[in-house]
Amino acid sequence: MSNQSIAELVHDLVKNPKSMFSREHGIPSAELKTNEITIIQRVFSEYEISGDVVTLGTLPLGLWA
Amino acid sequence: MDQVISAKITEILTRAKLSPEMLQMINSSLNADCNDGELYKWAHLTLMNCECVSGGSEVALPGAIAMELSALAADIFDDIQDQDNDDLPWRQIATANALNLAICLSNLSSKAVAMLPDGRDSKLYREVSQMLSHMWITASDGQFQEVLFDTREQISIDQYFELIKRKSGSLTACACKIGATLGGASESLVLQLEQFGTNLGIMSQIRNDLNDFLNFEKKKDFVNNKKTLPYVYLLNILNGKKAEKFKELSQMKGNGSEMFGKEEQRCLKQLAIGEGAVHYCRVMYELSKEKSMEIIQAMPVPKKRKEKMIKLVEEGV
Repeated sequence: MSNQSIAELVHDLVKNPKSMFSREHGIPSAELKTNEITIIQRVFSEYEISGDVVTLGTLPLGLWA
Repeated sequence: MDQVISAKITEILTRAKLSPEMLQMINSSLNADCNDGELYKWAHLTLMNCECVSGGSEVALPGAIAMELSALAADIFDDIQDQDNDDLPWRQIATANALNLAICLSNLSSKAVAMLPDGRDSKLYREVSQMLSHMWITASDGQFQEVLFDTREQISIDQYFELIKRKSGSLTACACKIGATLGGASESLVLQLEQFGTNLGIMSQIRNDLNDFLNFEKKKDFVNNKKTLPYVYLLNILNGKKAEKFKELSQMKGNGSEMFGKEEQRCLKQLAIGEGAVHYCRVMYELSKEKSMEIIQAMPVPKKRKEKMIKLVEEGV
Protein backbone atom coordinates (compact mmCIF):
# COMPACT_ATOMS: atom_id res chain seq x y z
CA MET A 1 0.00 0.00 0.00
CA SER A 2 1.13 3.53 -0.60
CA ASN A 3 1.88 5.84 2.32
CA GLN A 4 -1.21 7.87 1.42
CA SER A 5 -3.45 4.75 1.27
CA ILE A 6 -2.24 3.64 4.69
CA ALA A 7 -3.05 7.13 6.01
CA GLU A 8 -6.57 6.91 4.60
CA LEU A 9 -7.10 3.44 6.04
CA VAL A 10 -5.85 4.53 9.48
CA HIS A 11 -8.16 7.53 9.38
CA ASP A 12 -11.15 5.33 8.49
CA LEU A 13 -10.30 2.90 11.26
CA VAL A 14 -9.95 5.63 13.87
CA LYS A 15 -13.39 6.87 12.90
CA ASN A 16 -14.90 3.41 12.80
CA PRO A 17 -12.71 0.91 14.69
CA LYS A 18 -15.22 -1.93 14.49
CA SER A 19 -15.02 -2.00 10.72
CA MET A 20 -11.40 -3.12 10.68
CA PHE A 21 -10.55 -4.25 7.18
CA SER A 22 -14.14 -4.79 6.12
CA ARG A 23 -14.97 -4.50 2.44
CA GLU A 24 -16.49 -1.08 2.96
CA HIS A 25 -13.02 0.47 3.04
CA GLY A 26 -12.84 -0.37 -0.62
CA ILE A 27 -9.20 -1.43 -0.48
CA PRO A 28 -8.40 -4.17 -2.98
CA SER A 29 -7.11 -7.14 -0.99
CA ALA A 30 -4.10 -7.44 -3.33
CA GLU A 31 -3.02 -3.96 -2.30
CA LEU A 32 -2.82 -4.82 1.40
CA LYS A 33 0.28 -6.72 2.40
CA THR A 34 0.04 -9.22 5.26
CA ASN A 35 2.61 -7.40 7.35
CA GLU A 36 0.76 -4.11 6.91
CA ILE A 37 -2.49 -5.69 8.11
CA THR A 38 -0.73 -7.26 11.10
CA ILE A 39 0.99 -4.02 12.09
CA ILE A 40 -2.14 -1.87 11.75
CA GLN A 41 -4.13 -4.41 13.77
CA ARG A 42 -1.40 -4.53 16.42
CA VAL A 43 -1.29 -0.74 16.80
CA PHE A 44 -5.07 -0.50 17.08
CA SER A 45 -5.29 -3.36 19.61
CA GLU A 46 -2.55 -1.75 21.68
CA TYR A 47 -4.64 1.40 21.83
CA GLU A 48 -7.76 -0.59 22.66
CA ILE A 49 -6.00 -2.35 25.55
CA SER A 50 -4.34 0.75 27.03
CA GLY A 51 -7.19 3.08 26.07
CA ASP A 52 -4.56 5.74 26.26
CA VAL A 53 -3.27 7.55 23.23
CA VAL A 54 -0.37 8.97 25.23
CA THR A 55 0.98 5.43 25.73
CA LEU A 56 0.50 4.73 22.05
CA GLY A 57 2.31 7.89 21.10
CA THR A 58 5.24 7.49 23.45
CA LEU A 59 8.18 5.96 21.65
CA PRO A 60 11.67 5.39 23.07
CA LEU A 61 13.97 8.40 23.21
CA GLY A 62 15.48 9.49 19.93
CA LEU A 63 19.10 8.75 19.20
CA TRP A 64 19.70 9.12 15.51
CA ALA A 65 17.62 12.05 14.33
CA MET B 1 35.89 1.49 23.99
CA ASP B 2 34.72 4.98 25.04
CA GLN B 3 38.18 5.68 26.47
CA VAL B 4 39.83 4.59 23.23
CA ILE B 5 37.50 6.88 21.24
CA SER B 6 38.21 9.79 23.64
CA ALA B 7 41.96 9.27 23.32
CA LYS B 8 41.81 9.21 19.50
CA ILE B 9 39.69 12.35 19.40
CA THR B 10 42.13 14.10 21.74
CA GLU B 11 44.96 13.07 19.41
CA ILE B 12 43.18 14.59 16.40
CA LEU B 13 42.41 17.80 18.30
CA THR B 14 46.01 18.12 19.52
CA ARG B 15 47.40 17.64 16.01
CA ALA B 16 45.06 20.34 14.71
CA LYS B 17 46.63 22.92 17.07
CA LEU B 18 43.32 24.58 17.86
CA SER B 19 42.86 27.63 20.04
CA PRO B 20 42.05 26.88 23.72
CA GLU B 21 38.58 28.40 23.20
CA MET B 22 37.70 26.19 20.22
CA LEU B 23 39.15 23.17 22.01
CA GLN B 24 37.02 23.83 25.06
CA MET B 25 33.92 24.32 22.93
CA ILE B 26 34.47 21.03 21.08
CA ASN B 27 35.02 19.14 24.33
CA SER B 28 31.88 20.53 25.91
CA SER B 29 29.86 19.81 22.75
CA LEU B 30 30.87 16.16 22.37
CA ASN B 31 28.11 14.05 23.99
CA ALA B 32 26.30 17.19 25.19
CA ASP B 33 22.98 15.82 23.93
CA CYS B 34 23.50 12.42 25.54
CA ASN B 35 20.64 11.83 27.99
CA ASP B 36 21.01 8.14 28.64
CA GLY B 37 24.69 7.79 29.54
CA GLU B 38 25.58 6.19 26.21
CA LEU B 39 28.52 8.17 24.87
CA TYR B 40 29.66 8.47 21.24
CA LYS B 41 26.50 6.90 19.85
CA TRP B 42 27.48 7.56 16.20
CA ALA B 43 30.91 6.04 16.65
CA HIS B 44 29.32 3.01 18.30
CA LEU B 45 26.81 2.57 15.47
CA THR B 46 29.73 2.53 13.01
CA LEU B 47 31.72 0.08 15.14
CA MET B 48 28.66 -2.15 15.61
CA ASN B 49 28.32 -2.52 11.84
CA CYS B 50 31.98 -3.38 11.49
CA GLU B 51 31.67 -5.98 14.24
CA CYS B 52 28.59 -7.43 12.60
CA VAL B 53 30.37 -8.10 9.29
CA SER B 54 33.82 -9.04 10.57
CA GLY B 55 33.61 -10.04 14.21
CA GLY B 56 35.89 -7.16 15.30
CA SER B 57 35.57 -3.41 15.39
CA GLU B 58 38.99 -1.83 15.92
CA VAL B 59 39.76 -1.41 12.21
CA ALA B 60 36.75 0.90 11.95
CA LEU B 61 37.92 3.30 14.69
CA PRO B 62 39.05 6.17 12.40
CA GLY B 63 35.78 5.89 10.44
CA ALA B 64 33.77 5.76 13.66
CA ILE B 65 35.42 8.94 14.96
CA ALA B 66 34.92 10.66 11.61
CA MET B 67 31.23 9.76 11.82
CA GLU B 68 30.93 11.05 15.41
CA LEU B 69 32.49 14.41 14.48
CA SER B 70 30.44 14.77 11.29
CA ALA B 71 27.19 13.92 13.08
CA LEU B 72 27.93 16.50 15.77
CA ALA B 73 28.57 19.13 13.09
CA ALA B 74 25.30 18.18 11.36
CA ASP B 75 23.46 18.45 14.68
CA ILE B 76 24.81 21.96 15.22
CA PHE B 77 23.77 23.08 11.72
CA ASP B 78 20.32 21.57 12.30
CA ASP B 79 19.82 23.35 15.64
CA ILE B 80 20.88 26.67 14.11
CA GLN B 81 18.40 26.11 11.28
CA ASP B 82 15.57 25.14 13.65
CA GLN B 83 16.54 27.63 16.40
CA ASP B 84 16.02 24.64 18.65
CA ASN B 85 17.59 22.96 21.71
CA ASP B 86 18.51 26.22 23.41
CA ASP B 87 20.15 24.46 26.35
CA LEU B 88 22.94 22.86 24.29
CA PRO B 89 26.43 24.47 24.36
CA TRP B 90 26.46 25.54 20.69
CA ARG B 91 23.16 27.36 21.15
CA GLN B 92 24.59 29.40 23.98
CA ILE B 93 27.29 31.05 21.88
CA ALA B 94 26.98 33.53 19.03
CA THR B 95 25.45 31.92 15.93
CA ALA B 96 28.50 32.94 13.88
CA ASN B 97 30.74 30.96 16.22
CA ALA B 98 28.35 28.00 16.29
CA LEU B 99 28.74 27.94 12.50
CA ASN B 100 32.54 28.12 12.83
CA LEU B 101 32.41 25.28 15.33
CA ALA B 102 30.37 23.08 12.97
CA ILE B 103 32.67 23.82 10.02
CA CYS B 104 35.72 23.00 12.15
CA LEU B 105 34.16 19.69 13.28
CA SER B 106 33.26 18.61 9.76
CA ASN B 107 36.87 19.17 8.67
CA LEU B 108 38.24 17.41 11.75
CA SER B 109 36.09 14.52 10.59
CA SER B 110 38.16 14.42 7.37
CA LYS B 111 41.32 14.43 9.46
CA ALA B 112 39.99 11.38 11.33
CA VAL B 113 39.54 9.50 8.04
CA ALA B 114 43.16 10.32 7.19
CA MET B 115 44.15 8.27 10.26
CA LEU B 116 43.27 5.05 8.44
CA PRO B 117 46.47 2.97 8.55
CA ASP B 118 48.82 3.32 5.57
CA GLY B 119 49.15 -0.43 5.38
CA ARG B 120 45.59 -0.80 4.17
CA ASP B 121 45.16 0.22 0.58
CA SER B 122 44.28 3.80 -0.21
CA LYS B 123 41.07 2.55 -1.83
CA LEU B 124 39.49 2.34 1.63
CA TYR B 125 40.48 5.91 2.43
CA ARG B 126 38.91 7.11 -0.82
CA GLU B 127 35.77 5.07 -0.23
CA VAL B 128 35.18 6.35 3.29
CA SER B 129 35.89 9.95 2.20
CA GLN B 130 33.38 9.53 -0.63
CA MET B 131 30.77 8.14 1.76
CA LEU B 132 31.14 11.12 4.08
CA SER B 133 30.97 13.58 1.17
CA HIS B 134 27.86 11.84 -0.14
CA MET B 135 26.28 12.01 3.32
CA TRP B 136 27.00 15.77 3.63
CA ILE B 137 25.64 16.49 0.16
CA THR B 138 22.46 14.44 0.71
CA ALA B 139 21.78 15.66 4.25
CA SER B 140 22.35 19.33 3.44
CA ASP B 141 20.10 19.04 0.41
CA GLY B 142 17.50 17.49 2.73
CA GLN B 143 17.90 20.36 5.20
CA PHE B 144 17.57 22.83 2.31
CA GLN B 145 14.33 21.17 1.18
CA GLU B 146 13.02 21.18 4.74
CA VAL B 147 13.28 24.97 4.96
CA LEU B 148 11.43 25.25 1.65
CA PHE B 149 8.76 22.81 2.82
CA ASP B 150 8.14 24.84 5.96
CA THR B 151 6.99 27.75 3.82
CA ARG B 152 4.72 25.64 1.59
CA GLU B 153 1.05 25.06 2.27
CA GLN B 154 0.87 21.60 0.74
CA ILE B 155 3.30 18.69 1.14
CA SER B 156 2.40 15.12 0.24
CA ILE B 157 3.14 12.21 2.57
CA ASP B 158 5.53 10.77 -0.05
CA GLN B 159 7.42 14.07 -0.16
CA TYR B 160 7.77 13.91 3.63
CA PHE B 161 9.24 10.40 3.49
CA GLU B 162 11.65 11.36 0.70
CA LEU B 163 12.79 14.34 2.78
CA ILE B 164 13.49 12.40 5.98
CA LYS B 165 15.26 9.70 3.99
CA ARG B 166 17.70 12.39 2.83
CA LYS B 167 17.84 14.44 6.01
CA SER B 168 18.03 11.73 8.68
CA GLY B 169 18.42 8.46 6.79
CA SER B 170 21.61 9.61 5.08
CA LEU B 171 23.48 10.01 8.38
CA THR B 172 22.56 6.62 9.83
CA ALA B 173 23.10 4.97 6.43
CA CYS B 174 26.58 6.52 6.25
CA ALA B 175 27.56 5.23 9.71
CA CYS B 176 26.45 1.70 8.78
CA LYS B 177 28.14 1.84 5.39
CA ILE B 178 31.48 3.06 6.79
CA GLY B 179 31.47 0.36 9.49
CA ALA B 180 30.65 -2.38 7.00
CA THR B 181 33.22 -1.18 4.45
CA LEU B 182 36.04 -0.96 6.98
CA GLY B 183 35.04 -4.41 8.22
CA GLY B 184 35.70 -5.74 4.72
CA ALA B 185 32.08 -6.55 3.82
CA SER B 186 31.12 -7.47 0.26
CA GLU B 187 29.49 -4.84 -1.92
CA SER B 188 26.06 -6.45 -1.50
CA LEU B 189 26.39 -6.63 2.29
CA VAL B 190 27.43 -2.96 2.42
CA LEU B 191 24.30 -2.16 0.40
CA GLN B 192 22.11 -4.16 2.81
CA LEU B 193 23.55 -2.33 5.80
CA GLU B 194 23.13 1.01 4.07
CA GLN B 195 19.42 0.22 3.66
CA PHE B 196 19.27 -0.89 7.27
CA GLY B 197 20.80 2.44 8.31
CA THR B 198 18.34 4.41 6.21
CA ASN B 199 15.44 2.67 7.97
CA LEU B 200 17.02 3.35 11.33
CA GLY B 201 17.11 7.07 10.52
CA ILE B 202 13.50 7.04 9.31
CA MET B 203 12.38 5.34 12.54
CA SER B 204 14.21 7.93 14.63
CA GLN B 205 12.76 10.84 12.71
CA ILE B 206 9.18 9.54 12.99
CA ARG B 207 9.67 9.04 16.70
CA ASN B 208 11.08 12.53 17.21
CA ASP B 209 8.28 14.05 15.12
CA LEU B 210 5.63 12.29 17.17
CA ASN B 211 7.20 12.87 20.58
CA ASP B 212 7.72 16.58 19.85
CA PHE B 213 4.43 17.37 18.08
CA LEU B 214 2.36 17.91 21.21
CA ASN B 215 5.27 18.95 23.44
CA PHE B 216 4.30 22.63 23.40
CA GLU B 217 6.44 23.51 26.42
CA LYS B 218 9.77 22.63 24.86
CA LYS B 219 9.20 22.43 21.10
CA LYS B 220 7.95 24.89 18.53
CA ASP B 221 7.48 22.45 15.66
CA PHE B 222 3.83 23.26 15.01
CA VAL B 223 3.93 27.05 15.31
CA ASN B 224 7.03 27.06 13.09
CA ASN B 225 5.05 25.10 10.48
CA LYS B 226 7.57 22.29 10.53
CA LYS B 227 6.29 19.58 8.22
CA THR B 228 6.55 16.74 10.71
CA LEU B 229 4.71 13.45 10.09
CA PRO B 230 1.66 14.23 12.29
CA TYR B 231 1.42 17.64 10.59
CA VAL B 232 1.69 16.24 7.06
CA TYR B 233 -0.80 13.48 7.89
CA LEU B 234 -3.41 15.97 9.11
CA LEU B 235 -2.71 18.23 6.14
CA ASN B 236 -3.45 15.39 3.73
CA ILE B 237 -6.26 13.57 5.51
CA LEU B 238 -8.57 16.24 6.86
CA ASN B 239 -11.31 17.78 4.82
CA GLY B 240 -14.19 20.21 5.30
CA LYS B 241 -14.45 22.12 8.57
CA LYS B 242 -11.69 20.13 10.26
CA ALA B 243 -9.26 20.99 7.45
CA GLU B 244 -10.23 24.66 7.80
CA LYS B 245 -9.69 24.51 11.57
CA PHE B 246 -6.28 22.89 11.08
CA LYS B 247 -5.29 25.57 8.58
CA GLU B 248 -6.42 28.29 10.97
CA LEU B 249 -4.35 26.78 13.80
CA SER B 250 -1.30 26.39 11.56
CA GLN B 251 -1.40 30.07 10.66
CA MET B 252 -1.21 31.20 14.28
CA LYS B 253 2.06 32.22 15.86
CA GLY B 254 3.61 31.54 19.24
CA ASN B 255 3.04 35.10 20.37
CA GLY B 256 1.29 38.29 19.37
CA SER B 257 -2.40 38.92 18.88
CA GLU B 258 -3.03 35.66 17.00
CA MET B 259 -1.42 33.65 19.75
CA PHE B 260 -1.32 29.87 19.70
CA GLY B 261 -2.38 29.49 23.34
CA LYS B 262 -3.78 26.81 25.65
CA GLU B 263 -7.13 26.58 23.86
CA GLU B 264 -5.45 26.16 20.48
CA GLN B 265 -3.10 23.55 21.93
CA ARG B 266 -6.09 21.59 23.24
CA CYS B 267 -7.77 21.85 19.86
CA LEU B 268 -4.68 20.59 17.99
CA LYS B 269 -4.29 17.73 20.46
CA GLN B 270 -7.89 16.75 19.87
CA LEU B 271 -7.35 16.75 16.10
CA ALA B 272 -4.12 14.76 16.33
CA ILE B 273 -5.69 12.10 18.54
CA GLY B 274 -9.22 12.03 17.16
CA GLU B 275 -8.20 12.00 13.50
CA GLY B 276 -5.53 9.31 13.84
CA ALA B 277 -2.23 11.20 13.55
CA VAL B 278 -0.78 9.32 16.53
CA HIS B 279 -2.00 5.96 15.19
CA TYR B 280 -0.54 6.70 11.76
CA CYS B 281 2.89 7.67 13.14
CA ARG B 282 2.96 4.46 15.17
CA VAL B 283 1.98 2.35 12.16
CA MET B 284 4.68 3.92 9.96
CA TYR B 285 7.25 3.55 12.74
CA GLU B 286 6.41 -0.13 13.15
CA LEU B 287 6.58 -0.70 9.37
CA SER B 288 10.10 0.81 9.23
CA LYS B 289 11.07 -1.25 12.24
CA GLU B 290 9.91 -4.40 10.50
CA LYS B 291 11.88 -3.50 7.36
CA SER B 292 15.01 -3.05 9.49
CA MET B 293 14.47 -6.45 11.08
CA GLU B 294 13.95 -8.13 7.72
CA ILE B 295 17.22 -6.68 6.43
CA ILE B 296 19.14 -7.94 9.46
CA GLN B 297 17.60 -11.40 9.27
CA ALA B 298 18.46 -11.68 5.56
CA MET B 299 22.14 -10.74 6.00
CA PRO B 300 24.60 -13.57 5.34
CA VAL B 301 26.46 -13.24 8.66
CA PRO B 302 26.47 -15.58 11.68
CA LYS B 303 23.42 -15.15 13.92
CA LYS B 304 25.54 -14.32 16.95
CA ARG B 305 26.97 -11.25 15.20
CA LYS B 306 23.51 -9.89 14.46
CA GLU B 307 22.44 -9.82 18.10
CA LYS B 308 23.49 -6.22 18.86
CA MET B 309 21.77 -4.93 15.72
CA ILE B 310 18.57 -6.82 16.57
CA LYS B 311 18.65 -5.43 20.12
CA LEU B 312 19.14 -1.94 18.76
CA VAL B 313 15.99 -2.19 16.63
CA GLU B 314 13.92 -4.09 19.19
CA GLU B 315 14.61 -1.56 21.91
CA GLY B 316 13.43 1.14 19.60
CA VAL B 317 16.70 2.72 18.49
